[in-house]
Amino acid sequence: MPAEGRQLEKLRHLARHALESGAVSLVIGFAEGTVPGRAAPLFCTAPADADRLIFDGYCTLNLANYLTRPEVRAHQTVALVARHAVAKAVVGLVQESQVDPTRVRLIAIHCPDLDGLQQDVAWTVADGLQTLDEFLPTAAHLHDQELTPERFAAVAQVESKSSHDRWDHFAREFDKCIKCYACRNVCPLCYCERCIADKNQPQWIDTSSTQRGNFAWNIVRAFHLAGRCIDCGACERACPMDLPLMELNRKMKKVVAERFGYVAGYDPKADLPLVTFKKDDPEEFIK
Amino acid sequence: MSRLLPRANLEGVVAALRSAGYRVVGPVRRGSLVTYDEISSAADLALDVIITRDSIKKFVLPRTEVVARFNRDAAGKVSVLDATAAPQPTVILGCRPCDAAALPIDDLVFAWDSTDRFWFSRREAVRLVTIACANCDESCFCTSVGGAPDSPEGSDVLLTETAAGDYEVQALGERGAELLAKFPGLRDAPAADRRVAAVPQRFDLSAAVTALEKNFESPFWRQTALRCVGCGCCTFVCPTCHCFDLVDEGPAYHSERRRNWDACQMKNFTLHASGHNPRPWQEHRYRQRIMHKFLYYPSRLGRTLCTGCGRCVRACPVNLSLLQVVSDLAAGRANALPTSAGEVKK
Repeated sequence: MPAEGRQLEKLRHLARHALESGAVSLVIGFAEGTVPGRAAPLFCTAPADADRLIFDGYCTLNLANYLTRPEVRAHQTVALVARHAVAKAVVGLVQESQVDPTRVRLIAIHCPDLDGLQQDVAWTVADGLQTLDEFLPTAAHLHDQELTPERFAAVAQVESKSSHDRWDHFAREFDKCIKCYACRNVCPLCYCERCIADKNQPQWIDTSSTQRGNFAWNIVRAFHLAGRCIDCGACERACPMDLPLMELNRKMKKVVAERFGYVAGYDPKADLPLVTFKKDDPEEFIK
Repeated sequence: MSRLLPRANLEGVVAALRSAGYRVVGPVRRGSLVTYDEISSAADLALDVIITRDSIKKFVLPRTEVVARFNRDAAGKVSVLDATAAPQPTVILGCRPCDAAALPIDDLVFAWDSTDRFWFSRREAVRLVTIACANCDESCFCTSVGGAPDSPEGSDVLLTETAAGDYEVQALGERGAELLAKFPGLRDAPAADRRVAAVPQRFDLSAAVTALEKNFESPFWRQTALRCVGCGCCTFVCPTCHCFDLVDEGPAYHSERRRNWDACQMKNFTLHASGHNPRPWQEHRYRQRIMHKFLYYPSRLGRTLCTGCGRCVRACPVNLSLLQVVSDLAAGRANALPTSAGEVKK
């Protein structure tokens, strides 16, 4: 049996066993999509469902997004088929008290970052169901790769423009936005019960898809995710109009790393840089 | 004999329409994205794509549109100003049959209990020069909902590619004949082989409708919609989805009332001021979209609210394929669920 086939057998076995043993009542993974190049989220509640699980380079959706869904919260313990980006999102959700780590298990997949869509990726599945604490040491070494210049190539390109050209660039890109909120709705860290974009008393940002409304939405979202975005790229891949949303999110990531020495997604006990107040803050304005 | 437009004359058509005062729009490529946008030359047209990412809906129902303006003076007196703009005469060149067919379907609801003058004034200003589809992909399903890759429905002029790469031209109705009279370089030619995609029939529509009638309460919806994240992607790329929201925005003393696209998949769509939501779960919202398209709209207005363009199938970020769902319904899978996947306690 080829290596991928053995890994797939192991993945399905882990999921099946997790459901059979009662360790979890729900496994969220991926099934074959309806068209080539796509994978579909799969919710397994019966052991036999595990036979439909797959993993490949099209499994790019961040499944941690489903942990905050009421239908999923109804389960005592849930297992996620989790590549690194999914686990990083779980870290964020635990850090922000949205998810109880004792109720989450990971079927950990080790593979390269799935930034673009590509069917063939080398992947392996870890032995046994893991808790977040068991998983974290196995990914700690990836922290060093979070800030490599290649990851910020698009950001550097935008930074090199004059402010006038930057405005034009974002005006052109935001003009495509149709306000479908797919970016928000696939984002595991965009879990607000009531999003600022949905509030109308008072109305903080224009809901209309005008230049003003589109700038407001896309910039507010990037700011709200500053220091929280775990750089999975789910928003950008979900966008039906191909907005380069990760240019914004990665710029925020870079600033937060420079100013606070912090990268999201590694330490569920860490303080979030932008929501933490310290009495010895060097900035005068905050005192 | 048929009328033929040599491909090289497309440029002349664009120029002639523009000098006749039309804004000409068509499929335009911007990086990875092909959308309907204004063109100044036939060279701007991306005619090799199967379908654009967005639909032509935006030219009759813009994603945001001012429907009224109001001022409040120092004494607090409010005056409402008419905001009806004269829509720009527009030709959509390289429209697809599944887009063109959407407009007559939506006319029915916009003329139903009152006449929507915003819709119809834009509608009146738009002419559709449709190019029949020579290719299709696995998400196309026009033939399953009564359409065809070379259907003339809704179009003013239909172009069908010939084997030699030219276009056979057909004017539809008076508007079409009037528009076609502006096309330079047409010639008569013997009927040639036409390049039309073979779009397979993917499901039996009447079986799907019967299944919908029987399965309002089926666990099928819970199972199907559990993965739906409730964004507006499917409805906003859809040529027939037409729901909108009215909002007042702008400074307090001189504001605008705007009509914006809205989506039944979003939880706020049916949220009442009291806090009650008659569609509290995503499965209810997803069921509504399918029921509305394939059961409610046809039973009230006589037409299926779907032209099979497949945009929602391609765009869904979680691969929740309407084509798969309706095929499942037509195949009776709502009655006999194959697995317990997706069933959760609430």
